[in-house]
Amino acid sequence: MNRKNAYLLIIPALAIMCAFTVYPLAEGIRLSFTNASMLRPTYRYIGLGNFKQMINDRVFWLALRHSVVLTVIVVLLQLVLGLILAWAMKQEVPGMAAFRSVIMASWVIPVAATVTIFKFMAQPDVGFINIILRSIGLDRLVRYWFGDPSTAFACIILLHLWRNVPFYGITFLAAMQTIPESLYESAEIDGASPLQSFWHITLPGISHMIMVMVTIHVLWTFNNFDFVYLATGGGPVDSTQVLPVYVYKQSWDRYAAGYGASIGTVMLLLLAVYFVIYLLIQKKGEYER
Amino acid sequence: MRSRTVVFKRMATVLTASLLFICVLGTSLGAAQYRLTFWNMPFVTQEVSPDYVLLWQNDAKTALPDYVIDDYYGPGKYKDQRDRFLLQARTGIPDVIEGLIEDMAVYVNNGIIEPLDSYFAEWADGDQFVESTLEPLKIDGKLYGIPYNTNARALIYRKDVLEQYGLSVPKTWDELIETARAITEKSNKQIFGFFVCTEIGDPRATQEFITWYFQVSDRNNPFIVSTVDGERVVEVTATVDQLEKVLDLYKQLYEGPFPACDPNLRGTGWPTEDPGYVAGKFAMAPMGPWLWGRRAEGATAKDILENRSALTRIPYPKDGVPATYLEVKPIMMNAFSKNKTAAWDLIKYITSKEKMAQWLVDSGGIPARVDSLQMEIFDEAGIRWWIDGFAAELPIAVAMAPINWGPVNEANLRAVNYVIYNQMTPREAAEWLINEYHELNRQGTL
Repeated sequence: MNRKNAYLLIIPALAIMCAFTVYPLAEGIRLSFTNASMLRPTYRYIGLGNFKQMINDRVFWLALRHSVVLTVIVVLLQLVLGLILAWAMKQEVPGMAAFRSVIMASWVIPVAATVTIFKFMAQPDVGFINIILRSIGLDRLVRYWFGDPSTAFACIILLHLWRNVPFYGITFLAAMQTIPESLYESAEIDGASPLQSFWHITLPGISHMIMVMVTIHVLWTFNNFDFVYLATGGGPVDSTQVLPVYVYKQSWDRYAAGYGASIGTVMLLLLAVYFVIYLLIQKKGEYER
Repeated sequence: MRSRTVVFKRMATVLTASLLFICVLGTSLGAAQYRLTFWNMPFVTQEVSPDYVLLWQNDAKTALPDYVIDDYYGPGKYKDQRDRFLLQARTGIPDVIEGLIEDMAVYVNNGIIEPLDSYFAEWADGDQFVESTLEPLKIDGKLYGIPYNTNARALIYRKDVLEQYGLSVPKTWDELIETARAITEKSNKQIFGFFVCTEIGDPRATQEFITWYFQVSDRNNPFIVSTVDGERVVEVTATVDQLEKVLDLYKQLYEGPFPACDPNLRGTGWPTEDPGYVAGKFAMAPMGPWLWGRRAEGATAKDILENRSALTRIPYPKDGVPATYLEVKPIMMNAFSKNKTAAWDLIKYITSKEKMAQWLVDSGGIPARVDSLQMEIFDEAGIRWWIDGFAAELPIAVAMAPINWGPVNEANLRAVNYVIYNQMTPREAAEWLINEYHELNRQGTL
């Protein structure tokens, strides 16, 4: 009777999940085998046609490369800078409490506003960055930073860092504060340097949090659409093209919903592989412990 | 326990009664006045002044007392408007939509706009419309929109700047590049000689590209649409040589130490072009009459447009012909509108003699009705010279073929970007582009 009640109780949650997660996912995968277009009321199944087209699609491979490079660089830099920031915020310096509060502003500001601020700062004539460059005699560097293929990708990385590093910092700080102070005192008595303490006490102490943050941010960054779409739209000349934006462009600029869905399916598979690897590593870690 | 049950029952009764009351009230109010929805980009982007929008709304209450017109005029960008209309037209919202002629074929293919022939035939004002503005709005012989505005593109230029630097008005592409570079150099990049839209997805960029194309193709479209054995057939007629010429022009505009166009504005579109011109950042630009509406932006804009600007023909290549893009702006009816009579009443109101004239006096534009064009308000507003300047280009203006231009436009501007960012030579980009045309045609996308 209890078991029956338990099943009854989870039915609403399961129904909602099926309606809003499973169905769209299955529908997306189904569409990826069709030539569906927003411009035609009907469509037909074309087998692996979209996937064959993808193999010869230069922009798809470029977007895939950008997505992977962006994810690796951004997550690594966020991790390193987040650790440095957390360590700095752990120091007892006057005004640190206020600093900790202010620094989260970048996380609170909406993405659209962040991008607008950065785009304005990068303007060639009235932008803050270029005004500074002119004032120190570096006129040759003045440009629209999001409009130059050689700098646009770096600007996208900067946007990610500006928004997420403080979040990493605060999260790691919270994890660091759970490590007993006595461990550091013992290490100091044993003659450990601050770096050794960090390496042997702090890092193992927050390793679980690091795993969680890296996992979440790999997914977020790989799937991130808003920064690139709002800042550059994937341009100039595809220099910032990433897979989520390319899916959107295929679906809404070219109205090739089937092809767009097939790229989405590839993204899903890639992330599924990553997630399986992550679970295996986590399981191994638990076993060794 | 029992008293709690009684309370619950009473609460449920009150709640049900309230809901029923709201439903009945809502239905009766709804029945009294149908709520019409009208998506109209110029009302959102201030191509039409906010004061005029208010006036239009108030006048509509008197002219159409049986309906309420929603004051949400759509997402405010043609691309977003098109995407959303494709998705939600079947809900019946919006009832009426303003748009680009380029989108009409897409809407017709999806069966989401209503043929208006029977409505138009019964309208006494029908004979006031200029035939050349109705013709481009017909697909397979059926009329799918009522024109409210037509225009051809001209070159707007700063006569004071040209005079200051002792330069002549350019007539050919070579002269355009030379003159624009001279302005950039003489003003030490404070004013760039020219502006051209290069943003992928920007409708103006598309229209400028096709203008250059018509000039090198003897005013022919890059595609021909015909019907063979009852089947619609699209043929690609553009050549690599023609496209290379156009792409080479873009390349030259951004070349040199004092380029004709600002390299920092590569990849931008009309939201940069229009405010940039009225702010004095560029001396010349291909333009349509809507720019007049920007006088309201400030004293500088008003001065530049009313006193310092003039219009001339868009320069064309020595071995080409004068040609320009023909724009006809349609007002279309949603085929799924829940009240087509009301929708038609709204279309008649929008395209009535007075309303068409008032709208275009405010924003600039050539009315599609003869009686509107003859109204004195154009002279009273001092806009006649402006309208005449664009009207003079109508004889050389070419309408775009009725195909799905979205992916073609995207490919055109992608090729432009390859060239202006030095990723490909004009020849390579032209070859890439012609392949795209054929591939899109092969896929049945056009």
